[in-house]
Amino acid sequence: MSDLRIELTDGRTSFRPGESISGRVTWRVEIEPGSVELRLFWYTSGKGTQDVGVVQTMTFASPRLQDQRDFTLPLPREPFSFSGALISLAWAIELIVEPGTVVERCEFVLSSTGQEVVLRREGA
Amino acid sequence: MKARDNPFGATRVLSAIRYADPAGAVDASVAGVLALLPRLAALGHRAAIVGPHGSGKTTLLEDLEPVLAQRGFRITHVRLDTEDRRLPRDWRLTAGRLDAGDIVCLDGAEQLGPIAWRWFRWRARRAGGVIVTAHRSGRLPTLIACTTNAGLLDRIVRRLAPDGLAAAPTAAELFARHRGNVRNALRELYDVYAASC
Repeated sequence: MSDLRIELTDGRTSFRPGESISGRVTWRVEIEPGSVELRLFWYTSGKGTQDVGVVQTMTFASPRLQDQRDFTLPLPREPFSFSGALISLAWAIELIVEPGTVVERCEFVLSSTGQEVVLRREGA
Repeated sequence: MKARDNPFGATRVLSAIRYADPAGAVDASVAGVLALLPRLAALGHRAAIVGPHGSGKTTLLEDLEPVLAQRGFRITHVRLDTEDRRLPRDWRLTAGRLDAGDIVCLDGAEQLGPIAWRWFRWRARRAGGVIVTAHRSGRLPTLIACTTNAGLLDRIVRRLAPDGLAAAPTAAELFARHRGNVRNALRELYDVYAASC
């Protein structure tokens, strides 16, 4: 049974544009990993087709069956995390160990206030 | 309601609901796909998934692809729709490399005119299989005719939003209004939930 974890430094879940996101990833898998990657990306959800933007990928060299690594990734200035009635945009980092099907995802907020921007309908 | 919380968001629908026989359970997709394999093989892996808009053709094709890949086939997926009716620019190159280990999955075969269809078939002649979706039968032998009914829509809605919403129309109303197009019915429910809070 695979076990993948992402822990963010100080348990932070919101960040300002230009800050760095850091933490530690740990994994325990049964098959020798060919590659282990941490991906920083945003994705949309809502009524339409999902859009995804991978901003950065960090590859961990010489991964072992059971391992842990520290990471620091600089965050871009945009897009901000936001939510409206038709579309939401969220940020996340994802730990992917291949071969395998288990993926660990950790979501966070990126905005100037540290809060998700909420879009309201006119008149609402 | 925020878009990411909407139970009828596109990603949520696609991840929770796969193709299902209208007479069966909503989550019977794996068994349903496996049951199609003997007929697909009997048709030489050249067959069509037929059905009207919103009946699950694309979903079934997408469910079929990983099952065929697990059996050793390489899958080439080509998607056409009303906004993009032409085969990809690199199709000629892709087709030139096809052999018996390849299966070409063409979603939206009806978008090709008769000449383009014949050209597509000729270019894909070396492939081990060609599976298409189409609104009408005739381009290839029919593997399955996708259908929907109000009961299926009701089961899908209950699965996505078990608690329901007083303002939401019933599955029977939605089914009739959208003439059996489950995709459009779920999009209407998205709007109802988006306006709910």
